[in-house]
Amino acid sequence: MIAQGTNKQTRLTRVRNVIRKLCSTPLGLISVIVVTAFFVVGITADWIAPYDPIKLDIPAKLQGPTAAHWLGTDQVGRDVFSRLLVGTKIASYLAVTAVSIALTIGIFLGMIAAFTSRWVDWSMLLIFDTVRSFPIIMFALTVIALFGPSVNTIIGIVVISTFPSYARLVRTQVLSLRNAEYIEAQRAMGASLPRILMRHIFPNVIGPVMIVASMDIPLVIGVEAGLSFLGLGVRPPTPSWGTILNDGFSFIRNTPWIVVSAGLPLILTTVAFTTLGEKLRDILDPKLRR
Amino acid sequence: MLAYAIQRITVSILIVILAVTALFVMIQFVPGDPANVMLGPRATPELKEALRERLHLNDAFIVQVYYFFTGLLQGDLGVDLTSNRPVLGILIEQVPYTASLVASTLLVTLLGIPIGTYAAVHRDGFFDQASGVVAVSLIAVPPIVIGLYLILFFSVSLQLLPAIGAGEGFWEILLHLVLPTLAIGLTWIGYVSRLVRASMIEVLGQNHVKTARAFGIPNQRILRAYVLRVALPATITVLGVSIGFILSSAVIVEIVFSRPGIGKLMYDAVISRNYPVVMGTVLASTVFIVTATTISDLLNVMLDPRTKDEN
Repeated sequence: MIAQGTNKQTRLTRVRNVIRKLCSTPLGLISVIVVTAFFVVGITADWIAPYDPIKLDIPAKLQGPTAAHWLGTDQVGRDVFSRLLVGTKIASYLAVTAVSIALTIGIFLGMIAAFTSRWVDWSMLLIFDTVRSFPIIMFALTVIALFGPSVNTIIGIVVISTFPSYARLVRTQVLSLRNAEYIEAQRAMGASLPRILMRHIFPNVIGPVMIVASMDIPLVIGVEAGLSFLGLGVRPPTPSWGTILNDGFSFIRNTPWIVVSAGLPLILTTVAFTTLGEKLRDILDPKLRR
Repeated sequence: MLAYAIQRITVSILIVILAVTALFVMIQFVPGDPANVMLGPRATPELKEALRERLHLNDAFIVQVYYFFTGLLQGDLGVDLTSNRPVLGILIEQVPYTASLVASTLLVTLLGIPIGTYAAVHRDGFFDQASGVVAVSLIAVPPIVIGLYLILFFSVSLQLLPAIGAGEGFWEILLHLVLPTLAIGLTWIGYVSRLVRASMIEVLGQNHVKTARAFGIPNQRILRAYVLRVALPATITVLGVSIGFILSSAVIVEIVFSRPGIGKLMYDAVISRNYPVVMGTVLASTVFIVTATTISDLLNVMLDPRTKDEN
């Protein structure tokens, strides 16, 4: 019990150390702030939005930025700023659910691939590579052609197209750990395979996988924006960054501020997550530093 | 080398077969009758039956796969449901537009090599740090946002470059390629410059380079000797792995810029649920990607035989 207590404490200090190191550089600090803001706004959007994001106000349509409407209004008079805030809800929801489902599947299958017979391993690799060789938008278009557009379809698309890279990464990591002396020692002491996997291998593979996951979130956000822009993602009138971009694109010649302001949150969050991933990698895995 | 090439090509063919089969499996899971979905609710039962017959929808799925591949071997990819033209002909018409976009993107990406090399040589200098921040930003931002901002800046504000269509005549075609190419390519310039920088730094720190320097060989000459040897495999690997992403971006960019091409074709087919055309575009893009990755793998093994074991 005592050993476990200290174990937990060291883990906590380790997490605290990582966060302290992250915030010690200006870029790292900014990315931590933006990522935190992204999730906070995602959760509280409905309360902090100054206007109802789907309420029409035709007389006030396509107004420029004013004190009342900070980022102006769109073609049916909806407040662009409120719509962007509420759009964060969809983006953060997708980022969290899609990436965590893909992570779970990827870690599970990667461990299995590393610990089973060669044939299972080989056929799993072939399947992973087939999925990976398929461009995500092409895959998305096909799935949407068959099943119709919805938020769940997007989650499914992202999960299927990203879990193979996690699985492959975990597999490589596990293969390199499998013959490590401390694992052999555990085996000699009669530890079961699930116990070895969960207690000894999992903690060692989770770091690199989290780095890749952080860098995959921009991909998820980009896919949602792209599909919603094409009218194949989130259905109107629900605001999402992609649908707002599309609204702005129709009026790009006369009212460019809609496109400009809808692009900004996309740029901020994607750059912040990528920077966060890079900084995490520098801290957790200096060997990978490039 | 030959054995490796044969093995690699076999795997590629397997991947194409698997991908197409997976598509047929997915069609099996479509809720409702695919003929209903394609023809709409007002179609007569006879029409639907005729369509089912023509697309072999009444047969077991393995039979459908068989028909598709035997048709493929005879150059028959089925018929477009709306225009009644052979899908293969339509594909061949659209391929040059997408191919030219992808080719110009690959060409632009090479700009990453001098940027990365310069950053590596002047490590931690202003240019290195600035280009690092810009590269990470370019890598992160989705091409759709880059594309829209480019249109806003170069077409709407400055009115310098065209934003719609593909243009006719050599000069016009080139002009129409600029913005779509940048929309996709900026990301990859970022990637390549980062990777080339990393590989250059690694090489410049190695003992034989230090020795060469100690012998008084000028820096310029050392660089010239290593730039291509180091940068080329790195660039080829990135582009080989990322050709799928480039094609993905091309789909969105073609739609944003109203350019004809495989992406636009696929999008229109998806909207109108034109399954034979969807199938054709999926096959074309898979074959394209698998071919590109295979070629890049083989090129890499030729340039550096050590990479064979990693694949």
